[in-house]
Amino acid sequence: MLPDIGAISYIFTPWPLFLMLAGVFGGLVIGALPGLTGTMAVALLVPITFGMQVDDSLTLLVAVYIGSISGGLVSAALLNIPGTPSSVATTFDAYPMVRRGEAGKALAIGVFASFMGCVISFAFLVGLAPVLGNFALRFGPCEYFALVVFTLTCIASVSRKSLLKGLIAALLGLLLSTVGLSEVDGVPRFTFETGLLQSGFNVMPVLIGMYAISQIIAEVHGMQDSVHVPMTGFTLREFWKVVRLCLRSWKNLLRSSIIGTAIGILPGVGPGLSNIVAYSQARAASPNPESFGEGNPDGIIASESANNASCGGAMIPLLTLGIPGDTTTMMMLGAFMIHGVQPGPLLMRDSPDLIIQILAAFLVSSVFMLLLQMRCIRILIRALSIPRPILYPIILALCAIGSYALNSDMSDVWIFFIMGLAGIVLTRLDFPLLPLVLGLILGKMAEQELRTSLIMGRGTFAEYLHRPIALTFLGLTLLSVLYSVWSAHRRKKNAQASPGEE
Amino acid sequence: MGICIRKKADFGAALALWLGMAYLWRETEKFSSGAFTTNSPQFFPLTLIFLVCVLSLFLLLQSLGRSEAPERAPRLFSRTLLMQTAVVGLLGTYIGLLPVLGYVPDTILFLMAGMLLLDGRYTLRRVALYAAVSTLTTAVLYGVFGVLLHIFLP
Repeated sequence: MLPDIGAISYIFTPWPLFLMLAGVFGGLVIGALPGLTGTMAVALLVPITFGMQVDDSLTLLVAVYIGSISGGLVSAALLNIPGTPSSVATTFDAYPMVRRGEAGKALAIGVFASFMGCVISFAFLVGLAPVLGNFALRFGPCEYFALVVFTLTCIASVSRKSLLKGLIAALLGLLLSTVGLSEVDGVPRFTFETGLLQSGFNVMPVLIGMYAISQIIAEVHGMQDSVHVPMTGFTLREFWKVVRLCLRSWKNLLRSSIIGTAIGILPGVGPGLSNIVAYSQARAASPNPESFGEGNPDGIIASESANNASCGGAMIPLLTLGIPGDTTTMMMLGAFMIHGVQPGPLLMRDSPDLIIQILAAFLVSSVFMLLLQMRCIRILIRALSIPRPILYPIILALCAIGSYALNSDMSDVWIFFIMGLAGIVLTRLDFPLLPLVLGLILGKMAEQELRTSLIMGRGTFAEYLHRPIALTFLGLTLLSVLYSVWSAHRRKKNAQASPGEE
Repeated sequence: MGICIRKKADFGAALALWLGMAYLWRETEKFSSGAFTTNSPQFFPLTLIFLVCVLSLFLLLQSLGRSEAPERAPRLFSRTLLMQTAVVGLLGTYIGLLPVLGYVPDTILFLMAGMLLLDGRYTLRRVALYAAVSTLTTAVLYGVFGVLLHIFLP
C-alpha cells in the first residue's frame, strides 16, 4: 500500500486539523472525568458525526479515541481514581509522586509515555495492517464464521467473572441480530407483527443505551461529594527533563508499548488489561521492584505507554478484519457502519485512501494529544471539578437526542431506553455487555457466512475440514474455552485452599 | 446439609432464559419455511436458542450446591437503588413526553429535575442555577442538532 499524497494532504487541511484538535480535547476531558470512558466519548459523538462527510467523521472519532484513553491519566494521578479502566496501574505510582509534591513530574511522565505508546503502536499499525489485510483477502465464508466464533469466545473468556455468562451474553447478542427481515431470504423473524422491528435493531441506539445508561446509573452514588483537585502543571523545561528521564527507560517504554499493542490486537481485552500487564512486567524487570507502588516513574511509563499503545493495537483487527479489539473500537465499528463503511480486507483493497486517512489521523491526533496535554493540562484538571449532578443528566439527554437524530425516529429512542434497562439488569446479574453487543454487530455476518459455508458443504460442516485457517480459528476457540475453564477451576481450588485470602 | 440454591440471581436468570427461549422457539414456527434444513431461515435462530438453553442449564446447575451459608440476598431498598430507580423513571418520563411536550420544554424540565434529584439540595440558589444551566444546555443542543446538523427535533 503506497501512501497516497492526496489522502495524506487531506488531513493537513484546516477543517480536519480543527476536528482532530477538538476531538482530542473532548476525548481528554471525557477521559479525565472518573466514570466516563472512551466508549462513552465515542457514543456521545456518533450522532453528531452523522451529518458529516465520512472521512471527516472517521477522523474525529479516531481523535476522540486517542484523547479519551490519555485523559484517564489526570484523575489517576491527582485523585487516585482512574478516569478510565486503562489508567488503573497509573494510580500505583503517580499518586504517591503527587503526595510527595511531584505532581507536575508525574503528569509530564504520563503525557510523554502516552505519546510514545501511540507512536510505537502506530508503527505496528502501519506495518501490520497491510500484511494482515492481504492475508485476510484469502478468507472465505468458513474463515469468517470461524473468526466470529473465535472473537466472541475470546471476549466471553475474558469476561469479568464467568465464561458461561459471557457465552450466554454472546449468544443473546447473536439472537438479537436475527430480529427483522432475514438478509438471505427476506423472511421477517421475531418482529412480533409490529413494523417497529421490521428492519431489526439499529446498532447505535443499542450500544449507546447499554453503555451510557448502565454506566451512568452505576455512578449514581456519592453525587453530593465535592471533589477537591490539587491545581498543578509543569513548565516546558520540566517537561524536557522528563523526556530525558523517559528516554533513559527506553527498554521499559518499548516493552510496555509492545505489550500494549499485542494485547490491543486480542479481541475484547484492550487497554484495561494492558496497563496492568505492562506494569507487572516493568516491575519484574526492574532492579528495584520494591520501589514500585511508592512513586517509581517506571510504573507510570509502563502503564501509560501500554494503554495508549493498545489503541493502535485495537485498530489493527478493526481495520483489517472488521473485528473490534475493545469496547471503544466496537463503538467505532458501529459508527463506521452508520456511515456505510464496512471495515475489513475489502476496505483495505478498495478504499486505501480512507485507511491512509485514518492512519494519518491516528498519528496527528497523537501529536495533538501531546501538545494539548503540555499546554492545557490545567484545563483538564479543572474539568475534574465539573459537578456530576450537572454532567450526568446532560449526558443522558444528549444520548436520547442523539439516538433520535440517527434516523429522526422515536422508536430508536425507545430502543435506547429499553436496551439501557436491559444493560442495567444484565450488569447487576454479572452478565458482561461486550459479548452481547458484539454478537449483535457481528451476528448478520456470522449467519450469512455460516449458511454459505453450509451450502458449500452440501448441508454439512465438511467444507471446514478443507480449510486450515478456519480450523486454526476453531482450534483456538476450543483452547480459549478450555483455558478459561481450567483457570476458573484453579482459582476455585486456590480459594478453597486459602479461604481467608481474596 | 442438602442441595440448596446458592446463587438466587443466577437461578432466576437461568429460569428466565428458559422461559424466554421457549417463547422464541414458538415464534420460530411463524417463519418456518416447511422442512427444517441448514439453509432455512429458522436454522440459525433455532441453533442459538438451543445453545442458550444448554448453557442456561449449566448456569442453573452452577447456582445449586451444597452450602451451609447461601449467598446473602442483595438489599432490596437502599438509597442508591432508590436514586437509580428515580433516574431511570425520570429518563423514561422524558422520552415518553418528548413527542407530547416537544424538545425544548421537555429537555429543560428533564435536565432541571435530574440535576436537582442527583444533587439532593433543593435551595432557591440551586434551583435558579440548574434552571439557567438547563436552559443554556437545551439551547446549545438545539443549536448543534437543529441548526448545524439540520435534524428536525420532536
